[in-house]
Amino acid sequence: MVVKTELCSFSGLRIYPGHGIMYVRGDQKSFKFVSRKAKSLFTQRINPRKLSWTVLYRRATKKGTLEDAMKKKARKVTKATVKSVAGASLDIIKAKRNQKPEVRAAAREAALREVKERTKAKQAAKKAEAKKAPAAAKAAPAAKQSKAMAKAGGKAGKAGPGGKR
Amino acid sequence: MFAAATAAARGLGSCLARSAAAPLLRPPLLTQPRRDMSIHLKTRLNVIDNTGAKEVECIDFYARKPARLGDAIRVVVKSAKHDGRVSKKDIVGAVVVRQKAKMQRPDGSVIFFQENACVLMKRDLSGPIGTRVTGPVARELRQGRFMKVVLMASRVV
Repeated sequence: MVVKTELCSFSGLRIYPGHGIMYVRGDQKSFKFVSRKAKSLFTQRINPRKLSWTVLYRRATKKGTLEDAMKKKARKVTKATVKSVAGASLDIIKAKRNQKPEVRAAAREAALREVKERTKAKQAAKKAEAKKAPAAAKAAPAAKQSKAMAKAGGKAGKAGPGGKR
Repeated sequence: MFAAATAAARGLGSCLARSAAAPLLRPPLLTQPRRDMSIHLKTRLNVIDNTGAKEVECIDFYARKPARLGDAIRVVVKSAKHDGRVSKKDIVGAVVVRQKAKMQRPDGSVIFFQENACVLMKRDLSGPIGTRVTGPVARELRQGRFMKVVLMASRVV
């Protein structure tokens, strides 16, 4: 069970049920005090920010906040873990992590070599085509023109009926 | 007379001797009788309703003596506005709604107010004379026959 507590309006300390004194001023403001000491200091109109034992003082001078910040940082550091990502399950990632650098380098070289060979093959194929091409190139332009004409005509015909609506 | 004076002198002497023997001890406190701030005979209370009365004086008790929060008392009007529902020297009933003295509640907490204040009631305590109450009133009024005063109040603490 959670005990419902209130805060002292002078010192900021917790007031447990059955404790404390409430003072109601004429302007409807009410003040709760945890102890006679707090009440007395309040009636003397002493500023709680100038008394080192009050919560207001500790807040104003930023006491105790550094430790909290350190704790938070420490917690964040411990959070780093390996997780499975879409497309790569935990097992695959672990296997890749545990590979030795030499194996990895070898794999990379092999891949590069393969790519190079492929490009070489492609270039060779292009050259071969270029040698064959000149003869065919002369005939091609005329054929293309005729094809383009046919397409344009077809389109115009099709668009006709639906044009006016 | 003389004897009394010598006795006093002797008393003083003994006191001085004691202080000389133990100089670190605090001097004897000059204690005064503590002011009781509850509602006694002749206590003046502020009136916080719209009857026109400003200040009243307690002259009698209905419930207990001295009166506490939520108790009915009989009062005489000491000062009032000239166009109010009551005038000076009128004797009416009243109920204590705020008091300076500390009052302990059943849950153990303690409450006290800045002033002694009351709301005027009819003489047979059948209902309040005024129709409005300004400021906070104590929750103790609920237990008695003063629910009408509680309902008129803007805040119940």
